[in-house]
Amino acid sequence: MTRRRERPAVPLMTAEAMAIQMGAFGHARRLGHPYVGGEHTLLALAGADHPVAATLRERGVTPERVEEQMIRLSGGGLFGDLDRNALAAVGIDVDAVRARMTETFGPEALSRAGRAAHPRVVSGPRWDPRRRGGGPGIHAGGVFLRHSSDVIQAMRSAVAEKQARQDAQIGVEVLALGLLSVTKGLVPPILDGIGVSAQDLRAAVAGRRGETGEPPRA
Amino acid sequence: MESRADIAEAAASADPDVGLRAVAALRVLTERLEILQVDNARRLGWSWQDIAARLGVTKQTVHRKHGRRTGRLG
Repeated sequence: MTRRRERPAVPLMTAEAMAIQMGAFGHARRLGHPYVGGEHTLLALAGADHPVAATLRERGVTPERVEEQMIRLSGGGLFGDLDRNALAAVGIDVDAVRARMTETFGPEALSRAGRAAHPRVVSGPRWDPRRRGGGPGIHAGGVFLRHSSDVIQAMRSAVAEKQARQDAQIGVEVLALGLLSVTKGLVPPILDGIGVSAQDLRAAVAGRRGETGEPPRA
Repeated sequence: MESRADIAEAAASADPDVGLRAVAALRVLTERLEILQVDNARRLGWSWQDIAARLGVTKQTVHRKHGRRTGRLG
């Protein structure tokens, strides 16, 4: 995995799929996360100007809802784990506090403080300067962010899907199918939180081409 | 999720379970707000002394709690 391979004649991904990967990188940077995870890819995908993204949005997977779930699960974990009902009982609305703090300090500051509050629950690989530039990840603008293991799982699955379809490259649709088949990381709980099933989404995305959405045997 | 009526009822009750949980949650909320505010104050160039005075604790306490983390913020 880490060994350098021959550069293929055709890039692995289409320009559109690559743009989503770069969008994921941008979201990770914006939120101050030290890695690119499946949740960032899902966020970029949900906000993309593409029919696959529209299919996801129609089923409730909008960028706003994905980010809301991310905040609930980790990034803005500054308030996510508080006992909301107990605080409501003494007149404190945690959502109002969070909204006010986000407005004042910005999502990055909340995300940073959230990591300080939960030093052991950062949901991605730790930043390790010794591995700068090593391993799978994205390097842009002088910053290298590693891919977390769910992104690697999604990519493996997308490669298998691409081969099964005998496509030349991984497009947005195959990227989405790969991402929707991950079992690790934050994508499954985000989809649960929104109230949609990954399997239904896969079927809807693949159904655009009259397929079942069943993952190919890797 | 509890309805508004349930929450209002919980607030009105003298049940120690509800009251103690609220106290514990308030303590956690205070800790979280302190992280945000201290980070912000340090970024704005406030000294540990000034931050400690506002929080009503000693400079050593606030530095021990936040120094390592906010040191990176410059």
